[in-house]
Amino acid sequence: MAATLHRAAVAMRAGVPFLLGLLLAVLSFVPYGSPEFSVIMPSLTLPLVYYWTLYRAEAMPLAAAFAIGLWQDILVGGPLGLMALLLVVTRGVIESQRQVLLTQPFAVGWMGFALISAALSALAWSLAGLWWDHAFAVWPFIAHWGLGTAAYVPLAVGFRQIDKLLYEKA
Amino acid sequence: MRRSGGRAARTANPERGLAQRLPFAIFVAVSFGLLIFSKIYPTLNEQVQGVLIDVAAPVVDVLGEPVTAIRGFGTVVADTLNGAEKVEALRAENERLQRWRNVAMRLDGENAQLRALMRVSDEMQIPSISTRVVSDPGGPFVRAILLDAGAGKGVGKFQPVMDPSGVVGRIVTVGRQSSRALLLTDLNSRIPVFIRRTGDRGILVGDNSDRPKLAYLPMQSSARIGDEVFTSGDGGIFPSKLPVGIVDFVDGDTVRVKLAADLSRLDFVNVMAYVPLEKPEQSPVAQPLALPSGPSVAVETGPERPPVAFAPPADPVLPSPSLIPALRPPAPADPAAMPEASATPESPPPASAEDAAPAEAESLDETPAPSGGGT
Repeated sequence: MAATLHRAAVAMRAGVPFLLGLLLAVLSFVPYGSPEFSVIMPSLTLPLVYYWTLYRAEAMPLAAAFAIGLWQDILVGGPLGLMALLLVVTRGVIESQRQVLLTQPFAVGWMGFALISAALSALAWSLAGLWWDHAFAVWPFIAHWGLGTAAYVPLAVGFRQIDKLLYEKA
Repeated sequence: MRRSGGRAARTANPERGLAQRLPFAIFVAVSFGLLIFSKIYPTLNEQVQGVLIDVAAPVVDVLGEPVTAIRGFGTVVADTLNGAEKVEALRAENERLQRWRNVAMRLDGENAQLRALMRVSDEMQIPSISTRVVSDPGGPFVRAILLDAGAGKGVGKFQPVMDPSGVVGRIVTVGRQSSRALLLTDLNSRIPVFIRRTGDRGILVGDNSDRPKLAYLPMQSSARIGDEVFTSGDGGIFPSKLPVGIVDFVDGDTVRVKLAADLSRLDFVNVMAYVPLEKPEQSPVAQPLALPSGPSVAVETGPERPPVAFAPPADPVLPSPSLIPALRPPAPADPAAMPEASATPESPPPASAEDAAPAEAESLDETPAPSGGGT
């Protein structure tokens, strides 16, 4: 009985980052009353996948990153698979670089996020351009990237608190 | 904290490296597969999304409540701080609208008399439902919003979506309980329109900017800033004469339109139960909507329009002046750029009450009339 409860608690704990990802995806779409802001609203799921893959990879499996991305694609109403691809790539790339990034101070991790999100913005811009057969304006992607990079710091602080709550105090 | 194996570990244990890479390759392939699927089978993609938005919309709706409440509180605070100015502005606007209302009522009476004289059949009114907007566009790709009403409440694909001032967009994906509307600003949005002053027809083309382009105008088009733009009804997808916006940028062939609809305040919108004309020989029929069951939906009647069985008029002539403040063109600084509606003393008298109406309506504005114009 105790073992079952323990397993259930572990499973619930592991599911928190995934549920948080679904929630953050929704927060990008609630009406903020500003069409300009909604265009450059940063993706909150990218910092999430980056953070949890880097610091707690077992809590952010590939399937979870894929599902969060797919959920975001459904909310956008555009091509299915675009955000899923970006988050899966993030998960894969960061996992391969964990050994290096984990030994670095937070600022380097932040720079790593800035770099990968810039690369993913360029990839998203290219894929979306191909999918819609349209050359999208670049500035929304730059603003999107800039805001996302700025948002990483407070989000990472929040994730760190959740991480502590889930794993270090448990 | 667990650390996954790096290059050294994979070299030492190639099977483990493969086991790590294979899932990654599979998920990347599935994502690409979905991208290609949604490109090749757009109809199927829409059907899938129609099912999925029924899951997404209620979640967004519930989670958006706190944000909406905070936004509402912010608006209340701002209104309170600017209370005196706001009251004065609203009083002035109320007076102006009262005069417009009188004009509208008089013209409505005249219109009814003329229709009776010409034995024109009664106009049908397109029913519409008012529904809540549950999501912002969100992101740089798509300009679309989720609505809290779907097929269960009579919403159908291609139906026009309006706010009190004008056209917002059209329904593109329909679920049972929710639907998605593509805004006029989206790069996939194309609607046939005409310029009221000149009668020139064109296509309003969204390009993800906040001011869509007016394309395919006639070569000799004399569109100018302040011209009112309405749906033409060409193609039968949209009803005719719905207000769209005003021309606010002209530079050579580039004409841009400022939308009458306020896309920053889309809390509620009306979905018109207009059935698109699918084949030229078929007449679209305005179907009655299912009675709403949800608290956020109320049946209303849309703006008057000719019977939907009618073909769009060859020469678009509006039955009445625009009574929508957002559509009234700004007073041009250059008298040469004045709309024809505000006739100069040298201008020939209007041929009919319809022609005279814009001039009368303009005279009601408290904005100073341009030189030589007005009453």
